[in-house]
Amino acid sequence: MIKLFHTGDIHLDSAYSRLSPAEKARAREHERKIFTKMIDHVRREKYALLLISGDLFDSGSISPETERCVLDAFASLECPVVISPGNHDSFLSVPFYSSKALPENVYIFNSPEIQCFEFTELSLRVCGYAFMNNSYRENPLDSFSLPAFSGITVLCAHGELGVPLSTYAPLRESDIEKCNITYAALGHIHKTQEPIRRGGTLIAYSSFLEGRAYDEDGEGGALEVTIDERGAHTRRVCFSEKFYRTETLDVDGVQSSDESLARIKERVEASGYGRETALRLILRGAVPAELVLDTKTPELLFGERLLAFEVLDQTTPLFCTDSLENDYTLRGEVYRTLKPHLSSEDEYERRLAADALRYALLAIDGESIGGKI
Amino acid sequence: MKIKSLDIIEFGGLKDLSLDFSEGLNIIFGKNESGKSTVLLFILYMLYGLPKSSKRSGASAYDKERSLSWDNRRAEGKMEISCDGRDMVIYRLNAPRVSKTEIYDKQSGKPINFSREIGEELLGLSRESFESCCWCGQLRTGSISGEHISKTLSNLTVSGDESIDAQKALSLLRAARREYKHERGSGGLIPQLEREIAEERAEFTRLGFDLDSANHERAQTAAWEAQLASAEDALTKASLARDMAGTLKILSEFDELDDLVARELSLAQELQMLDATTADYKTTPTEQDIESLRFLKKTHAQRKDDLDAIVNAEKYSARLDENAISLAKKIDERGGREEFISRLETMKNKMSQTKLFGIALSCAGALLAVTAAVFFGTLAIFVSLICACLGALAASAACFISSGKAKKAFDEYLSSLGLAETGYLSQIERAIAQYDIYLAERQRLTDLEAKKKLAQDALDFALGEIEQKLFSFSADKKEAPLEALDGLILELSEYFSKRKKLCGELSLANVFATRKREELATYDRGALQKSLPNEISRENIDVSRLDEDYKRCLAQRDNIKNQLYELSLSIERIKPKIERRRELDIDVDEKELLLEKYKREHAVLDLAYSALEEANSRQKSNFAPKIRARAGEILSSLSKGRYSGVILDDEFEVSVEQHGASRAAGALSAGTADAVYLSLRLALIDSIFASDAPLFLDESLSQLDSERASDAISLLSDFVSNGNQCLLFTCHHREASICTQQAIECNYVKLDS
Repeated sequence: MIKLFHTGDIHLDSAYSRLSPAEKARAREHERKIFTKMIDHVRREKYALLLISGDLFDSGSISPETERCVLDAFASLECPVVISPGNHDSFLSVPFYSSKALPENVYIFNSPEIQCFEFTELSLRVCGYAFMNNSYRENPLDSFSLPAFSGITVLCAHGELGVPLSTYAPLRESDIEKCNITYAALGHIHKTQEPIRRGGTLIAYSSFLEGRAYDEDGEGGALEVTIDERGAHTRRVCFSEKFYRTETLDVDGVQSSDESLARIKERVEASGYGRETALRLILRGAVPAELVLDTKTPELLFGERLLAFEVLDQTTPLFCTDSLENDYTLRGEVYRTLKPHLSSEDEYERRLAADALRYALLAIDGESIGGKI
Repeated sequence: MKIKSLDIIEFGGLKDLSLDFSEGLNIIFGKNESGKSTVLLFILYMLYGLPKSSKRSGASAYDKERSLSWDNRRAEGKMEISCDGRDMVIYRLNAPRVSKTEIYDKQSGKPINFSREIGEELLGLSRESFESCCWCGQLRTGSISGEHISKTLSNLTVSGDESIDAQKALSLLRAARREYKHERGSGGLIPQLEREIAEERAEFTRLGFDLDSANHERAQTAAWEAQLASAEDALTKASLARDMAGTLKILSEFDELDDLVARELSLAQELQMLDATTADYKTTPTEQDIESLRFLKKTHAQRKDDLDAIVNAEKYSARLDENAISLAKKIDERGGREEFISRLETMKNKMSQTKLFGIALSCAGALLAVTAAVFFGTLAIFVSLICACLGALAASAACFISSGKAKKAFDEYLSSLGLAETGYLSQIERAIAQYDIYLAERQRLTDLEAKKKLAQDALDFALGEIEQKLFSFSADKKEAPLEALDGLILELSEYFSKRKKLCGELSLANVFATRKREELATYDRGALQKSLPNEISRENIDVSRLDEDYKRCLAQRDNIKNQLYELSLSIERIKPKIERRRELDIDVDEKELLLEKYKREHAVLDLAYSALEEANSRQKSNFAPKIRARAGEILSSLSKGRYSGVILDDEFEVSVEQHGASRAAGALSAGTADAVYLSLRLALIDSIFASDAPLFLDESLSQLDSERASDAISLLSDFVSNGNQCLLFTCHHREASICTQQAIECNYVKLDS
């Protein structure tokens, strides 16, 4: 039995273009802290190998603090570290990868072709490739077969699985399977998902190490990989200290912003989230056509107790539309005009029509339109 | 629907107030601030609840505030209604944290469940529609501008709600749409954002070349860094080698000592092998043996030379002239050599004396001639000369004769020796020489013979010694002793030469080794060896070369560093551009998301605008004509035919028809405008409701003159006679008086202030 650790998509020194320089520096320092926490775990648990499946850095511009942190981290490990440069930290764009200051236990793929590092004492080899710049249109495993090897073969790569036209190394499950790979440590897809078992091969994305925005939902983390005679198995290990969560709240039938505020409050209080969680709450359901929900007040009210709080109104103005249906005024006529769109099978058209109805009703009420939706 | 009674428990400024209404015309009188409007608001509350805060925020907030009791912010009350022959009671309570709505059948007391608001359920109208249709409140036509009146009437006619201004709504949507994208030109957020994205994309593409350049330079950097690594490695080694030169030197001296010891051993073995080549000699050879052998060889050669010389000398003697030997023999026979010399001397003396006498005579004659000349003059000179000549001639003749005789005697002697016919003095000289040679040769031969013997003896002795010597080395060298001797000399020379060389080398090696051992006695070779790093090459022990190596490596390393520095400068120069490119990339992504959002907003606004436009158009073509026609009838009745109709022009301006001409609503008197307004309201209720919707008038007749107010009351009487209920709120007694005067049935309700 052998135990490996698989991480990736860490994106150290992220751009954080919307943050001020001081906030940006704090955010980057926090990234380094989580990275170091992960390294401490790897050292403590004495894994045989650390696999980094791309995008260790967010770009080629690496701050000296980050470079020092990564070098110290790698040097503190007894196990080998294998890095497959990804589209964000392609081999040529990151001088760090060519640095001679790298500790001896760090192995970096430096070619777009498949390369293998053999670790005879582990009876294991790690194969992979490098993004040389920010895109890679070919499937590196296409029509490729690995040379025979008596031990375990692990793939460490950055790429997109099952998207043939992807510009980020489009990989196929079948290609990975046919190469007799026991474990494919992939990076690029941030969304946390279950590993895929294909024959004797286990294919897994490590997910992000810690969320940086609402598109990195949940706990993220990295994978502890155990390979034994039964094959490879993974266990997710979380290092996050802050979490981005996107949840929906059904406010169907609310008659006022006060009612929706009460429901939002109830949800936030029941969630038990605190300063570690950034919450995006999407309001769903049908509300009266004339109701424009107030999303700013709850953000102000509950933003303090959370890391960040965002309320998105995705309700439809279709609650109890009978009154509109029977409305003889222009208001009813507008509703009736939009009705075919509102009952369209196309979700996009339905939402568009719902918002158009809201706008039209606002305009009829003589209210200004800007920023209402 | 008919409102039968109100039971206001607590609402606004009213408390515990009960009012009963008839199913026809009700005139509710109350002075200002007696609560007329609050009662109207209570009816609205009963039908639709408290106003929603989202709707027409300003007005609704105001209405809500007016609905709650002033002291404990409660709203509570009951309203009894009759609808489709069924009596129902509505109960509502709104208090902090309490909200209750009930509707039940009055007779059975059973609750009635409505899925919608009570008003909507009973009247089929939303709160807004109810308000806009059935509600004719205060200050509709009061001290407001003609333009506003016109707009209110237009709204009422076109949209069915005096507060709904379709043109304004369209204008708002247009304005909102224009914010995103102008219909003409390139203004608006979308084109601006598209421009920015295009510009940023172009810049991004341009900066892509810099990225390529940076990537290229980074690749170069990587290559140089790879070289730098090996250069640093080489430099480290060279540096270590230089630093460890002392140790290396000592170790190399140990190596030298090893070499010397090995050399000693090798030389000793070689010497041993060389000595083995002389093993078959009967005696141990020494270097003196070579000298001795050489001496023997030389002696033998000398003896041989001596003997050869003697033999040659003998050979030379044999070649002597036989004539000379014969002459010599004859001289010996005739007195010997002394006699021959004596005779020869005698002959020479005589010949010499004759010559001297002749010369003396000549000289005497000459002297006589000179003396005569001095004493006797020229003749005497002549005579003297002749005398002298004659005297000389005589003297010569005498001498010649004398010498001839001596010569003749000697020639005879010579003849006897056999030398007569061969020359004269030369012959004599040669004969004497030949004779001397003969004598000497004879003596020499005699000596040679003796010497030859001696030489032969000496040669034989020398050869004997050689043979003896050869024998002392080897018995097999008798056949050709001299060749053997040469061979032996050569052999021994080579042997001793080699031996000497080997011994010299061995001795030197020994001396050097000893010296080296003494020098290295204080060092521990093993410890020194261990102190050296593995990578140090033992070959590099030449300190100067190591120093040169170090300098070369240093120069090489510095050159690479310079190259890297140049590249890093170049990359540093490009870095801001790459950073900018990255920012652009992120910015473009964000802007594209924003653009997508804007486009969607624009699409929403487009759809809203087109829907509103279409709805408005439909309202104008379907709804407005009906309202206008019915309102015209009512107005004609109300004005006793003074105004025959209501007109809506292309600009949606409302005007009234008077004797075939039209008058803009804005130009009408307040009373006429109110009459038009009332007409439109009644027309609206007529057109909209098939059922019996109540009409609420709040001071609607106050602007009318008595005559028109009377006509309006008649009109309302007609209106209620069709089954409608009307609640007229007023602060004047005039309306009640008109009813009394015209015998119009009405329920008069008085509100106490």
